[in-house]
Amino acid sequence: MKYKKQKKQKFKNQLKVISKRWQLYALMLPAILYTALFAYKPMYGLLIAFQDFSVRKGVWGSDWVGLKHFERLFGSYWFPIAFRNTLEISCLDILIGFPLPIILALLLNELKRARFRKTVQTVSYAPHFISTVVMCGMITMFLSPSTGIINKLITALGFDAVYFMQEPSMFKWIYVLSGVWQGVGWSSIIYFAALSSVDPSLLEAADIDGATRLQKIWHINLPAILPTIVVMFILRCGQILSMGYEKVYLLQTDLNLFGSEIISTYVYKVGLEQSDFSFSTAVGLFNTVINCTLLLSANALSKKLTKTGLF
Amino acid sequence: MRKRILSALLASAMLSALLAGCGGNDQGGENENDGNDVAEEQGGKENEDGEEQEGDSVRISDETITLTLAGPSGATAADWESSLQFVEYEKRLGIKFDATTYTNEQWDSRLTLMMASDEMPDILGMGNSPMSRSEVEQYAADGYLLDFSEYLDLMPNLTKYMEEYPEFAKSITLEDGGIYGFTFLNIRSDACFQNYILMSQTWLDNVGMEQPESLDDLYNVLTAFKEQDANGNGDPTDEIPMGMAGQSYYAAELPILWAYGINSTNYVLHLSADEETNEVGLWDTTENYKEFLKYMNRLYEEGLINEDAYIVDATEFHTAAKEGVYGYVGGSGSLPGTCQETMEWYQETGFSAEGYNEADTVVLNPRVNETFRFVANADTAYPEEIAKFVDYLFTNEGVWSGVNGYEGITFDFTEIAGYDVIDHNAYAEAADLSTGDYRNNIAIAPGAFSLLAINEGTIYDMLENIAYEELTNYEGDCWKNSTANALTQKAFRDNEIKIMDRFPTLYYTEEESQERATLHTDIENYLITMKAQFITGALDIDASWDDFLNQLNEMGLERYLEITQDAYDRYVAE
Amino acid sequence: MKKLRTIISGSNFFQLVVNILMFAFLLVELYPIIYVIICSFSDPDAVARGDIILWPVGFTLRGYEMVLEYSDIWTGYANTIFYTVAGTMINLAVTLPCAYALSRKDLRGRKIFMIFFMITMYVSGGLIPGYLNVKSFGLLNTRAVLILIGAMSVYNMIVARSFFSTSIPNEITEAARIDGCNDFSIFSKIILPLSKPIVVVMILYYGIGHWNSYFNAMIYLDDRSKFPLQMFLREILLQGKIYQEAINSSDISPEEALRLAELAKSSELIKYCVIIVSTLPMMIIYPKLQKYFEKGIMIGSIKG
Repeated sequence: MKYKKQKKQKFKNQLKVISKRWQLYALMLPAILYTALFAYKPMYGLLIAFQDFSVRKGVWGSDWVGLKHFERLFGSYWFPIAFRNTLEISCLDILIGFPLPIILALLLNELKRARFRKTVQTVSYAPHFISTVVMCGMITMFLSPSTGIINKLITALGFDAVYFMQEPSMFKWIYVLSGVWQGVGWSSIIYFAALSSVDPSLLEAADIDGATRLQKIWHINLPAILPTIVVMFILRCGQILSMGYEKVYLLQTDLNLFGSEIISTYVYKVGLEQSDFSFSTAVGLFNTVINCTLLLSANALSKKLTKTGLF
Repeated sequence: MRKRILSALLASAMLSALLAGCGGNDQGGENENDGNDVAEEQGGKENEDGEEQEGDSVRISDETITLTLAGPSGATAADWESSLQFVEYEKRLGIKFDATTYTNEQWDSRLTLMMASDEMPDILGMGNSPMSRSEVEQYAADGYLLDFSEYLDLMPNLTKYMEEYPEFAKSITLEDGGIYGFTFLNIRSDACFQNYILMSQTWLDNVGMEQPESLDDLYNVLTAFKEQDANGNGDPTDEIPMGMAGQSYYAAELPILWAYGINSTNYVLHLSADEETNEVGLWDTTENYKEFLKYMNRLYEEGLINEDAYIVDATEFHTAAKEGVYGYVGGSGSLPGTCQETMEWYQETGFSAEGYNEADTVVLNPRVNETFRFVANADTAYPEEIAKFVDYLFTNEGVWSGVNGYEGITFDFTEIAGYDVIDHNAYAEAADLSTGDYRNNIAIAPGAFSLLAINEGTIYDMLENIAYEELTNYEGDCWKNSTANALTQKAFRDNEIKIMDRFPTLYYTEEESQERATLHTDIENYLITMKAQFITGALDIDASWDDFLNQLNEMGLERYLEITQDAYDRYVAE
Repeated sequence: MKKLRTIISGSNFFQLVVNILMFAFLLVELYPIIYVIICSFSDPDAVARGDIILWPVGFTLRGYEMVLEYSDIWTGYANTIFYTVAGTMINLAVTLPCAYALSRKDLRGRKIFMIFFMITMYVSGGLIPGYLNVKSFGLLNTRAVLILIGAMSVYNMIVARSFFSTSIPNEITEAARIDGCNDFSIFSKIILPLSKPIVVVMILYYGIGHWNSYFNAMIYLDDRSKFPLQMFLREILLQGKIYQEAINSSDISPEEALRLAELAKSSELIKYCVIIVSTLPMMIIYPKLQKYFEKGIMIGSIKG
């Protein structure tokens, strides 16, 4: 009896809360309108993955072909190779590229001299602006067996020059490490921001207790940014297959193709032979399915482990 | 230095017949002359010297009509409407163009969107970024494009060229017999040989060797380059005999490929057809190609090819090549750069290989560029006028209008050794611009309407016909830049050359090309990486050969060849 | 011995290690920038040869001259500044309220709304339907299209939401409500001032996005006077290729060929200059935004 009453009371409260919270819905209104008009309204375009799309006939008039384009993709010799490479490179990128910005933010946070800290921050964020073409030119140049600065170092130490761009197995390292080089500063921005919300009084209290710097990082700073880390990680997991083609394409050589062909470069090459909206949409849809699955798994995992998630 | 150019140029006179027929067509020379005559007879009322006055042009429409036009205009979206070419069109032909231009980068997506939202203008002029045949097929099937085959009686000049150059006719005629657009026909004498394959005469002189005739000679020459001080800087160890850069600069290997009887200028995927049975095959799976790979592998393993051949950045390679790092190098770009730089080189044409080809062998480039540069809207209000306009573009005056403008408006004819050559200088100076800037920014709308290239009005007219004595008398320099062409011609004269027919460009139905797209990408990709692995020795050729063939079969080579066979059979049947 | 241990475990030693690490890191990150700057002043052939290490080889200003000779550059700058400022303002106005609302645990239907937004992260209609959609709103070839398209990135919204839900203590909202504030004023008067770090992050993410974007301009704009900077910079880059191709066409005079060869060579420089020209304003603004990342900025404002 008492329980029922409580429940009723709770329900009443909830209703009250909703009607009181109309302003929250109003705050979301612009975003909802935008999403409906610019994202959902043209979404019917997805259907062309199941058609032989003709520009004139449009989405509603083109011939339906079922899963033909998916079969084309799965039937291709290079697809398994490209799929594996995409996964491998992307996972390595998460393994290395995900923790480093966090470590960078935590370490920078420890720097006492504000001027030095700001300098490092500004500089670390600048490579983000170097265009992919120039970045790839630099990588090829630095790794060149004859003129590259890295091989000059290696030969100066008495070793043989390494043909970095020749080995399929080296490709993922080149891609990931250069990506970290270029992006670590930029990616750490969000963690800087999160760190700024750490309550200084907590740190002062820890000082009084005689905690070391590492202990403070571990017990105060890290937990403070953990929710941000979790969200960023889940979002990253949802992008595993969406690797842009440009950088990989520019770093490909005839010799490392078995390690460097990824889904997007493969689709680009097919498109060069014959541009085909239906085929590329089908591939995009395939990527979406895999990405969503990974995102949902990561979300579920994180809910289990850290009790936080996206939804 | 000038002497050497001159002597090289002379060759042209004797060579015109040989050069004129791409693909080793014996009647080539004859064809070409016929073509020219036709153009002059039909094209306009210009007299024999090619001079004509304003008003000579055939007016296409009595009342000025306005045609909408869109097209890619290169790096920037240029203003076509105000070019003198378009101003003159309005005056002379009675056609005013309402033109919208896009950058090349914008063009692909904008074209699709234009079509998708049903906003196609009367004409697309796409010289700067042509449309593929399969796209034309698709748009034609959807009923977007005007079928010019219904208006052929209005197009006598075009018809003549189609008759003279059947490959041109094939390239513009789709499966259903319709003509929905126009490709590019190049009958200028430099059309067929545009690869620079250069060996340094200086290096040869320094090691005291003759120009190589056979593949064995080539091997010996390259070895000598490596072992001796070929570049003459006192250091015998810093020479790189042969320079290549993956898919960008591979022309140096083409003569080797040809020597093994492979009639292709591709990087990989060399299609073949049996002369008797018409059976289509792939050279890349034959013993010939295996031998080619072994030869290349030997060169690579012995350090005769630059070690970074398959990983070097194209710009880095080009810079090195320009500076003379390599003794033997090739490419289709501007490798020789300026004439000063080219002089110490000679153009390599072909080698013989024992058991394969007894004579030096070359494969020539096609005269027709099979992508489409001009299509018109099926719903246009002026189909006949457009047809007449296209035909006009196949007269000499029409050709010039698209590339140079009009005589007395944007250029004068300069007489060089009795031949009239178009000269913009006076007009460019008056506008205080370089001739190139004047021509591209003021005189014409570059790439808008250029469907044919001819010798008349260019230096090639003279190069083909002039006698040596006359040439030496002439001190002008506007022919100097044709050194690359001269080098080629010299090479043809100096060598007994066998010309192999190239595998023709085939045309596929829409369904075929869709199925072919993935197969082609798969096979080509695989061949590219395997070729590099075989040549660099990452894989042993003999040991991996069977596996290589098996993999190709696994990815559907058989089906690919079936599709190609169907297309080839149609080609032969025509 | 004991002393050594205290030094090692003590903060001085730690500070030293961090300083050394960060200094090494600084050098590693500085190098690509220095390299690009040097290259933009060097002889392109020397760059291609791999001669550039720390000092310009064959000093030249030709690349910058070519960029600045391009008269449209200034139009592009003005447009880009407009698109960046106006676009980012719209982004903030759409993203932040939505992120805040979704961060509130007392919002019913939170999960459904999240899914509603997140679907669009993965599923889009593609180029043609997108174009037809913009056309149906009559936005083709207007400045508005560059500001409206991408008014909200779901990714950024989620990042902002997680900041709101973890960094703003619940008590603040409670206290404000007791004081009689409604949700509008809680958001605008209390939450926003407390969330400067995330606002700055959003300004950076969105602002840089607008600054670097060209694709929408390429698809939706015809009018050159409306083009953003990046469109013109791409044109300049493309120009280099055009020169290269023009040299190959054999009906040009030798003077012209030499001039084109020179231009083609200089245009190799341009890709470096373009980075400097387009990045410089960003590099000037960024340090000014950094102060919002300082520790305790939020707590300080609460106490104040």
